Amino acid sequence: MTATREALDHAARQKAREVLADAGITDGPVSPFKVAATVGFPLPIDDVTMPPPAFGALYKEGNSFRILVSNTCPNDGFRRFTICHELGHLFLDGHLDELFEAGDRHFSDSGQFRGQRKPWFEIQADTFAAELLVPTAFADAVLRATGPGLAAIRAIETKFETSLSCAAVRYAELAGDSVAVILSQNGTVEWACTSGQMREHWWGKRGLKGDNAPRGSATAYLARSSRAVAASEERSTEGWLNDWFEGAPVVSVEEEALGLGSYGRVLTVLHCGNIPTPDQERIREDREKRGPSSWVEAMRPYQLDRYEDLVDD
Amino acid sequence: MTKTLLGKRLKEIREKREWSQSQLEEKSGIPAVMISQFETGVRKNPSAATLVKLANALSISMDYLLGRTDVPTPVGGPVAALLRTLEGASGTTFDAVTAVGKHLTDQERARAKKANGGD
Repeated sequence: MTATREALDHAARQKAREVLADAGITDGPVSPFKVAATVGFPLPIDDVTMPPPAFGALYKEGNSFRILVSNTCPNDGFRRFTICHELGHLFLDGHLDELFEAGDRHFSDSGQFRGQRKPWFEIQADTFAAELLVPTAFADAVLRATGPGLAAIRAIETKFETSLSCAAVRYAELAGDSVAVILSQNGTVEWACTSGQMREHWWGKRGLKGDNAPRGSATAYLARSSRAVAASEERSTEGWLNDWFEGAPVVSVEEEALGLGSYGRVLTVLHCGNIPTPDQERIREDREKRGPSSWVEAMRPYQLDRYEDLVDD
Repeated sequence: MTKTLLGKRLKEIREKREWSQSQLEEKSGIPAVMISQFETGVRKNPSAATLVKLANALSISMDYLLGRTDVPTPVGGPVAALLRTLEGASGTTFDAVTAVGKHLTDQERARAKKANGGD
Protein backbone atom coordinates (compact mmCIF):
# COMPACT_ATOMS: atom_id res chain seq x y z
CA MET A 1 0.00 0.00 0.00
CA THR A 2 1.60 3.24 -1.17
CA ALA A 3 -1.22 5.68 -0.44
CA THR A 4 -0.50 8.50 1.97
CA ARG A 5 -2.02 8.68 5.43
CA GLU A 6 -4.15 11.63 4.26
CA ALA A 7 -5.45 9.67 1.27
CA LEU A 8 -6.29 6.64 3.42
CA ASP A 9 -8.08 8.82 5.98
CA HIS A 10 -10.01 10.58 3.22
CA ALA A 11 -11.08 7.25 1.68
CA ALA A 12 -12.16 5.92 5.10
CA ARG A 13 -14.26 9.01 5.88
CA GLN A 14 -15.78 8.98 2.41
CA LYS A 15 -16.72 5.31 2.72
CA ALA A 16 -18.22 5.86 6.19
CA ARG A 17 -20.40 8.66 4.77
CA GLU A 18 -21.54 6.42 1.89
CA VAL A 19 -22.39 3.62 4.32
CA LEU A 20 -24.39 6.02 6.53
CA ALA A 21 -26.31 7.24 3.48
CA ASP A 22 -26.99 3.63 2.38
CA ALA A 23 -28.28 2.82 5.86
CA GLY A 24 -30.51 5.92 5.80
CA ILE A 25 -28.97 7.24 9.01
CA THR A 26 -29.35 11.00 9.30
CA ASP A 27 -28.62 11.70 12.97
CA GLY A 28 -26.84 10.26 15.98
CA PRO A 29 -26.56 7.97 17.79
CA VAL A 30 -25.52 5.68 14.95
CA SER A 31 -26.47 2.03 15.39
CA PRO A 32 -23.63 -0.25 14.23
CA PHE A 33 -26.22 -3.01 13.91
CA LYS A 34 -28.27 -0.94 11.47
CA VAL A 35 -25.09 -0.34 9.47
CA ALA A 36 -24.20 -4.05 9.58
CA ALA A 37 -27.64 -4.88 8.17
CA THR A 38 -26.81 -2.99 4.96
CA VAL A 39 -23.78 -5.12 4.14
CA GLY A 40 -25.88 -7.31 1.85
CA PHE A 41 -25.21 -10.70 3.45
CA PRO A 42 -25.84 -12.22 6.91
CA LEU A 43 -23.34 -10.74 9.36
CA PRO A 44 -23.77 -12.12 12.88
CA ILE A 45 -22.35 -9.96 15.68
CA ASP A 46 -21.76 -12.05 18.79
CA ASP A 47 -20.60 -11.25 22.30
CA VAL A 48 -17.98 -13.73 23.42
CA THR A 49 -15.36 -14.17 26.09
CA MET A 50 -12.01 -13.21 24.59
CA PRO A 51 -8.62 -13.38 26.20
CA PRO A 52 -7.51 -9.82 27.03
CA PRO A 53 -6.28 -7.56 25.55
CA ALA A 54 -8.30 -8.62 22.47
CA PHE A 55 -11.63 -6.82 22.24
CA GLY A 56 -12.88 -7.61 18.75
CA ALA A 57 -12.41 -10.14 15.98
CA LEU A 58 -13.48 -10.75 12.42
CA TYR A 59 -13.91 -14.36 11.35
CA LYS A 60 -14.08 -15.31 7.72
CA GLU A 61 -16.37 -18.29 7.24
CA GLY A 62 -16.46 -19.37 3.60
CA ASN A 63 -18.33 -16.64 1.77
CA SER A 64 -19.46 -14.83 4.89
CA PHE A 65 -18.12 -13.13 7.98
CA ARG A 66 -18.84 -12.98 11.68
CA ILE A 67 -17.95 -10.16 14.05
CA LEU A 68 -17.03 -11.11 17.59
CA VAL A 69 -16.97 -8.59 20.43
CA SER A 70 -15.48 -9.21 23.83
CA ASN A 71 -17.89 -9.11 26.74
CA THR A 72 -15.10 -7.46 28.74
CA CYS A 73 -15.23 -4.18 26.78
CA PRO A 74 -14.91 -1.43 29.42
CA ASN A 75 -18.12 0.32 28.33
CA ASP A 76 -20.82 0.27 25.67
CA GLY A 77 -19.17 3.12 23.74
CA PHE A 78 -15.96 1.09 23.47
CA ARG A 79 -18.02 -1.91 22.31
CA ARG A 80 -19.75 0.13 19.63
CA PHE A 81 -16.40 1.47 18.40
CA THR A 82 -15.01 -2.08 18.25
CA ILE A 83 -17.92 -3.23 16.07
CA CYS A 84 -17.49 -0.21 13.76
CA HIS A 85 -13.75 -0.90 13.49
CA GLU A 86 -14.48 -4.46 12.31
CA LEU A 87 -17.12 -3.11 9.89
CA GLY A 88 -14.37 -0.87 8.52
CA HIS A 89 -12.33 -3.95 7.63
CA LEU A 90 -15.31 -5.23 5.63
CA PHE A 91 -16.19 -2.02 3.83
CA LEU A 92 -12.72 -0.69 2.99
CA ASP A 93 -10.80 -1.72 -0.12
CA GLY A 94 -7.71 -3.85 0.28
CA HIS A 95 -8.23 -4.96 3.89
CA LEU A 96 -9.27 -8.47 2.94
CA ASP A 97 -5.86 -9.42 1.59
CA GLU A 98 -4.06 -8.02 4.62
CA LEU A 99 -6.29 -9.53 7.32
CA PHE A 100 -6.68 -13.06 6.08
CA GLU A 101 -3.33 -13.74 4.47
CA ALA A 102 -2.35 -16.13 7.23
CA GLY A 103 -5.73 -17.59 8.19
CA ASP A 104 -9.44 -16.96 8.48
CA ARG A 105 -9.40 -15.15 11.83
CA HIS A 106 -8.38 -11.60 12.55
CA PHE A 107 -8.19 -10.21 16.08
CA SER A 108 -8.34 -6.52 16.86
CA ASP A 109 -6.23 -6.24 19.91
CA SER A 110 -5.98 -2.98 21.82
CA GLY A 111 -2.46 -3.82 22.98
CA GLN A 112 -1.32 -5.56 19.80
CA PHE A 113 0.56 -2.62 18.41
CA ARG A 114 1.78 -1.07 21.64
CA GLY A 115 5.29 0.20 21.15
CA GLN A 116 5.23 -0.43 17.41
CA ARG A 117 3.77 1.27 14.39
CA LYS A 118 0.14 0.36 13.73
CA PRO A 119 -0.43 -1.15 10.26
CA TRP A 120 -2.16 1.16 7.75
CA PHE A 121 -5.33 -0.94 7.63
CA GLU A 122 -5.83 -0.75 11.41
CA ILE A 123 -5.42 3.03 11.38
CA GLN A 124 -7.82 3.28 8.44
CA ALA A 125 -10.41 1.08 10.20
CA ASP A 126 -10.15 3.39 13.26
CA THR A 127 -10.72 6.45 11.06
CA PHE A 128 -13.73 4.75 9.46
CA ALA A 129 -15.16 3.82 12.89
CA ALA A 130 -14.72 7.36 14.23
CA GLU A 131 -16.45 8.94 11.23
CA LEU A 132 -19.21 6.31 11.32
CA LEU A 133 -19.96 6.72 15.04
CA VAL A 134 -19.49 10.48 15.23
CA PRO A 135 -20.15 11.73 11.69
CA THR A 136 -18.62 15.14 11.00
CA ALA A 137 -21.87 16.54 9.59
CA PHE A 138 -23.90 15.56 12.68
CA ALA A 139 -21.20 16.45 15.20
CA ASP A 140 -20.68 19.99 13.87
CA ALA A 141 -24.18 20.92 15.03
CA VAL A 142 -23.45 19.57 18.53
CA LEU A 143 -20.18 21.52 18.75
CA ARG A 144 -21.84 24.73 17.63
CA ALA A 145 -24.40 24.38 20.42
CA THR A 146 -21.87 23.83 23.23
CA GLY A 147 -18.91 25.66 24.68
CA PRO A 148 -15.32 24.45 24.27
CA GLY A 149 -13.50 21.87 26.37
CA LEU A 150 -14.98 19.08 28.44
CA ALA A 151 -18.52 20.41 27.90
CA ALA A 152 -18.17 19.73 24.17
CA ILE A 153 -16.67 16.28 24.75
CA ARG A 154 -19.48 15.32 27.11
CA ALA A 155 -22.06 16.57 24.62
CA ILE A 156 -20.55 14.35 21.89
CA GLU A 157 -20.35 11.39 24.27
CA THR A 158 -24.02 11.74 25.20
CA LYS A 159 -25.36 12.44 21.73
CA PHE A 160 -23.44 9.68 19.94
CA GLU A 161 -23.20 7.13 22.80
CA THR A 162 -19.45 6.80 22.46
CA SER A 163 -16.66 6.36 24.98
CA LEU A 164 -15.25 9.56 26.44
CA SER A 165 -11.91 8.88 24.71
CA CYS A 166 -13.56 8.57 21.28
CA ALA A 167 -15.58 11.73 21.92
CA ALA A 168 -12.39 13.56 22.96
CA VAL A 169 -10.53 12.55 19.79
CA ARG A 170 -13.43 13.62 17.59
CA TYR A 171 -13.65 16.92 19.46
CA ALA A 172 -9.97 17.62 18.76
CA GLU A 173 -10.38 16.59 15.10
CA LEU A 174 -13.42 18.78 14.54
CA ALA A 175 -12.69 21.80 16.73
CA GLY A 176 -12.22 24.96 14.73
CA ASP A 177 -9.85 26.53 17.26
CA SER A 178 -6.64 25.55 19.05
CA VAL A 179 -7.36 22.46 21.11
CA ALA A 180 -5.44 19.46 22.39
CA VAL A 181 -6.78 16.41 24.20
CA ILE A 182 -4.37 14.27 26.17
CA LEU A 183 -4.71 10.94 27.92
CA SER A 184 -2.24 10.24 30.70
CA GLN A 185 -1.61 7.70 33.40
CA ASN A 186 0.27 8.62 36.57
CA GLY A 187 1.13 11.94 34.93
CA THR A 188 2.75 10.38 31.84
CA VAL A 189 1.11 11.04 28.46
CA GLU A 190 -0.14 7.94 26.63
CA TRP A 191 -1.52 9.75 23.61
CA ALA A 192 -2.44 13.23 22.49
CA CYS A 193 -4.58 14.54 19.68
CA THR A 194 -4.38 18.14 18.46
CA SER A 195 -6.79 20.19 16.37
CA GLY A 196 -6.00 21.19 12.79
CA GLN A 197 -5.16 24.72 13.87
CA MET A 198 -2.51 23.40 16.27
CA ARG A 199 -1.08 21.00 13.73
CA GLU A 200 -0.28 23.95 11.49
CA HIS A 201 2.64 24.58 13.86
CA TRP A 202 5.70 22.35 13.94
CA TRP A 203 5.48 22.01 17.73
CA GLY A 204 1.79 20.98 17.47
CA LYS A 205 2.66 18.01 15.24
CA ARG A 206 5.05 16.53 17.76
CA GLY A 207 3.50 13.64 19.71
CA LEU A 208 3.53 14.11 23.47
CA LYS A 209 3.65 10.37 24.20
CA GLY A 210 5.93 9.68 27.14
CA ASP A 211 6.08 13.34 28.25
CA ASN A 212 5.15 14.27 31.82
CA ALA A 213 2.32 16.65 32.65
CA PRO A 214 3.83 20.02 33.69
CA ARG A 215 4.30 20.66 37.40
CA GLY A 216 1.48 22.75 38.75
CA SER A 217 -0.97 21.58 36.07
CA ALA A 218 -4.41 20.22 36.97
CA THR A 219 -3.40 16.96 35.33
CA ALA A 220 -0.34 16.58 37.54
CA TYR A 221 -2.50 17.36 40.57
CA LEU A 222 -5.01 14.60 39.73
CA ALA A 223 -2.21 12.17 38.85
CA ARG A 224 -0.87 12.43 42.40
CA SER A 225 -4.13 11.03 43.81
CA SER A 226 -5.41 7.69 42.58
CA ARG A 227 -8.45 8.29 44.80
CA ALA A 228 -9.28 11.50 42.89
CA VAL A 229 -8.90 9.69 39.56
CA ALA A 230 -11.07 6.78 40.74
CA ALA A 231 -13.70 9.24 41.98
CA SER A 232 -13.74 10.92 38.51
CA GLU A 233 -12.77 14.25 40.03
CA GLU A 234 -12.38 17.24 37.77
CA ARG A 235 -9.99 20.18 38.07
CA SER A 236 -9.24 23.16 35.90
CA THR A 237 -6.56 25.80 35.86
CA GLU A 238 -4.74 28.23 33.59
CA GLY A 239 -1.23 27.51 32.40
CA TRP A 240 1.18 28.18 29.57
CA LEU A 241 1.11 26.45 26.23
CA ASN A 242 4.91 26.15 26.09
CA ASP A 243 4.84 24.14 29.34
CA TRP A 244 3.03 21.40 27.40
CA PHE A 245 4.51 21.85 23.93
CA GLU A 246 8.22 22.53 23.79
CA GLY A 247 8.91 25.33 21.32
CA ALA A 248 5.36 26.72 21.44
CA PRO A 249 4.88 30.46 22.03
CA VAL A 250 4.23 31.72 25.54
CA VAL A 251 0.46 31.81 25.33
CA SER A 252 -2.00 31.27 28.16
CA VAL A 253 -3.92 28.00 27.99
CA GLU A 254 -7.05 26.82 29.80
CA GLU A 255 -6.63 23.32 31.15
CA GLU A 256 -9.43 20.97 32.23
CA ALA A 257 -8.56 17.55 33.66
CA LEU A 258 -10.92 14.71 34.45
CA GLY A 259 -10.23 11.44 36.30
CA LEU A 260 -11.53 8.51 34.28
CA GLY A 261 -12.62 6.34 37.23
CA SER A 262 -11.65 2.69 37.19
CA TYR A 263 -9.82 3.23 33.88
CA GLY A 264 -7.13 4.91 36.00
CA ARG A 265 -6.29 7.59 33.44
CA VAL A 266 -6.72 11.34 33.30
CA LEU A 267 -8.27 13.06 30.29
CA THR A 268 -6.95 16.57 29.76
CA VAL A 269 -8.29 19.25 27.44
CA LEU A 270 -6.16 22.26 26.57
CA HIS A 271 -7.85 25.22 24.96
CA CYS A 272 -6.05 28.35 23.77
CA GLY A 273 -7.47 31.60 22.57
CA ASN A 274 -5.02 33.39 20.32
CA ILE A 275 -2.00 31.51 19.07
CA PRO A 276 0.13 33.47 16.60
CA THR A 277 -0.07 32.04 13.08
CA PRO A 278 3.03 30.18 11.79
CA ASP A 279 3.87 33.31 9.70
CA GLN A 280 3.65 35.61 12.73
CA GLU A 281 5.81 33.14 14.67
CA ARG A 282 8.43 33.11 11.91
CA ILE A 283 8.60 36.91 11.85
CA ARG A 284 9.00 37.01 15.65
CA GLU A 285 11.70 34.31 15.58
CA ASP A 286 13.59 36.12 12.78
CA ARG A 287 13.44 39.37 14.69
CA GLU A 288 14.72 37.67 17.85
CA LYS A 289 17.61 36.04 15.95
CA ARG A 290 18.56 39.25 14.13
CA GLY A 291 18.29 41.53 17.12
CA PRO A 292 17.41 45.22 16.69
CA SER A 293 19.13 46.83 13.70
CA SER A 294 19.44 50.18 15.41
CA TRP A 295 18.85 51.77 18.74
CA VAL A 296 15.74 53.38 17.23
CA GLU A 297 14.26 49.96 16.51
CA ALA A 298 15.26 48.79 19.98
CA MET A 299 13.40 51.72 21.47
CA ARG A 300 10.30 51.32 19.29
CA PRO A 301 8.49 48.98 21.70
CA TYR A 302 8.76 51.74 24.31
CA GLN A 303 7.08 54.17 21.89
CA LEU A 304 9.77 56.80 22.34
CA ASP A 305 8.79 58.51 19.11
CA ARG A 306 10.50 61.78 19.96
CA TYR A 307 13.89 60.05 19.81
CA GLU A 308 13.10 58.85 16.31
CA ASP A 309 12.18 62.43 15.41
CA LEU A 310 15.54 63.52 16.72
CA VAL A 311 17.37 60.99 14.56
CA ASP A 312 15.39 61.87 11.46
CA ASP A 313 16.45 65.45 11.93
CA MET B 1 -3.20 -2.40 -17.49
CA THR B 2 -2.19 -5.83 -16.18
CA LYS B 3 -5.11 -8.16 -15.57
CA THR B 4 -5.26 -9.65 -12.10
CA LEU B 5 -6.17 -13.21 -11.22
CA LEU B 6 -9.32 -11.81 -9.61
CA GLY B 7 -10.22 -10.08 -12.86
CA LYS B 8 -9.54 -13.16 -14.97
CA ARG B 9 -11.58 -15.45 -12.74
CA LEU B 10 -14.44 -12.99 -12.37
CA LYS B 11 -14.74 -12.63 -16.15
CA GLU B 12 -14.34 -16.36 -16.73
CA ILE B 13 -17.13 -17.33 -14.31
CA ARG B 14 -19.42 -14.50 -15.41
CA GLU B 15 -19.07 -15.58 -19.05
CA LYS B 16 -19.60 -19.20 -18.07
CA ARG B 17 -22.91 -18.13 -16.54
CA GLU B 18 -23.57 -16.25 -19.79
CA TRP B 19 -24.22 -13.04 -17.90
CA SER B 20 -23.37 -9.56 -19.04
CA GLN B 21 -21.73 -7.17 -16.58
CA SER B 22 -25.12 -5.45 -16.22
CA GLN B 23 -26.76 -8.76 -15.34
CA LEU B 24 -24.13 -9.40 -12.70
CA GLU B 25 -24.82 -5.89 -11.39
CA GLU B 26 -28.51 -6.78 -11.05
CA LYS B 27 -27.73 -9.98 -9.19
CA SER B 28 -24.94 -8.72 -6.96
CA GLY B 29 -25.74 -5.05 -6.46
CA ILE B 30 -22.19 -4.17 -7.51
CA PRO B 31 -22.13 -1.50 -10.26
CA ALA B 32 -21.25 -2.80 -13.74
CA VAL B 33 -18.58 -0.12 -14.02
CA MET B 34 -16.82 -1.51 -10.96
CA ILE B 35 -17.15 -5.08 -12.28
CA SER B 36 -15.52 -3.95 -15.51
CA GLN B 37 -12.72 -2.25 -13.56
CA PHE B 38 -12.01 -5.47 -11.66
CA GLU B 39 -12.04 -7.54 -14.84
CA THR B 40 -9.65 -5.24 -16.66
CA GLY B 41 -7.35 -4.77 -13.69
CA VAL B 42 -8.06 -1.04 -13.24
CA ARG B 43 -9.21 -1.84 -9.69
CA LYS B 44 -7.26 -4.47 -7.83
CA ASN B 45 -8.23 -4.66 -4.19
CA PRO B 46 -11.97 -4.99 -3.58
CA SER B 47 -13.48 -4.69 -0.15
CA ALA B 48 -14.67 -7.83 1.60
CA ALA B 49 -18.28 -6.62 1.30
CA THR B 50 -17.95 -6.23 -2.47
CA LEU B 51 -16.24 -9.57 -2.95
CA VAL B 52 -18.85 -11.48 -0.91
CA LYS B 53 -21.66 -9.99 -3.02
CA LEU B 54 -19.91 -10.95 -6.26
CA ALA B 55 -19.02 -14.44 -5.05
CA ASN B 56 -22.52 -15.12 -3.72
CA ALA B 57 -24.17 -13.88 -6.93
CA LEU B 58 -21.92 -16.20 -8.95
CA SER B 59 -22.29 -19.05 -6.40
CA ILE B 60 -18.55 -19.45 -6.15
CA SER B 61 -16.00 -19.28 -3.40
CA MET B 62 -14.62 -15.89 -2.43
CA ASP B 63 -11.26 -17.60 -1.94
CA TYR B 64 -11.38 -18.78 -5.56
CA LEU B 65 -11.81 -15.21 -6.76
CA LEU B 66 -8.91 -14.14 -4.57
CA GLY B 67 -6.74 -16.95 -5.92
CA ARG B 68 -6.41 -18.64 -2.54
CA THR B 69 -7.89 -21.87 -3.89
CA ASP B 70 -8.46 -23.44 -7.29
CA VAL B 71 -11.77 -24.95 -6.19
CA PRO B 72 -14.58 -22.60 -7.20
CA THR B 73 -17.25 -24.21 -5.00
CA PRO B 74 -17.86 -22.20 -1.87
CA VAL B 75 -17.35 -23.91 1.44
CA GLY B 76 -19.47 -21.37 3.30
CA GLY B 77 -22.56 -19.27 2.69
CA PRO B 78 -25.75 -20.71 1.18
CA VAL B 79 -24.06 -23.82 -0.22
CA ALA B 80 -22.59 -24.65 3.18
CA ALA B 81 -26.00 -24.05 4.75
CA LEU B 82 -27.59 -26.46 2.23
CA LEU B 83 -24.95 -29.09 2.95
CA ARG B 84 -25.52 -28.70 6.70
CA THR B 85 -29.22 -29.49 6.26
CA LEU B 86 -28.20 -32.72 4.56
CA GLU B 87 -25.83 -33.83 7.30
CA GLY B 88 -26.70 -37.41 8.30
CA ALA B 89 -29.11 -37.84 5.37
CA SER B 90 -29.18 -41.20 3.64
CA GLY B 91 -27.60 -41.66 0.22
CA THR B 92 -31.06 -41.92 -1.34
CA THR B 93 -32.13 -38.54 0.13
CA PHE B 94 -28.83 -36.97 -0.94
CA ASP B 95 -29.23 -38.27 -4.51
CA ALA B 96 -32.84 -37.07 -4.63
CA VAL B 97 -31.94 -33.55 -3.45
CA THR B 98 -29.04 -33.42 -5.92
CA ALA B 99 -31.31 -34.48 -8.79
CA VAL B 100 -34.00 -31.93 -7.87
CA GLY B 101 -31.38 -29.23 -7.46
CA LYS B 102 -29.82 -30.04 -10.80
CA HIS B 103 -33.23 -30.05 -12.53
CA LEU B 104 -34.22 -26.69 -11.06
CA THR B 105 -30.83 -25.11 -11.84
CA ASP B 106 -30.97 -26.37 -15.45
CA GLN B 107 -34.47 -24.90 -15.80
CA GLU B 108 -33.26 -21.58 -14.36
CA ARG B 109 -30.32 -21.44 -16.77
CA ALA B 110 -32.54 -22.29 -19.74
CA ARG B 111 -34.95 -19.51 -18.76
CA ALA B 112 -32.08 -17.08 -18.38
CA LYS B 113 -30.67 -18.07 -21.78
CA LYS B 114 -34.06 -17.54 -23.39
CA ALA B 115 -34.46 -14.15 -21.73
CA ASN B 116 -31.04 -13.16 -23.07
CA GLY B 117 -32.09 -14.00 -26.59
CA GLY B 118 -30.32 -17.35 -26.78
CA ASP B 119 -31.61 -20.44 -28.61
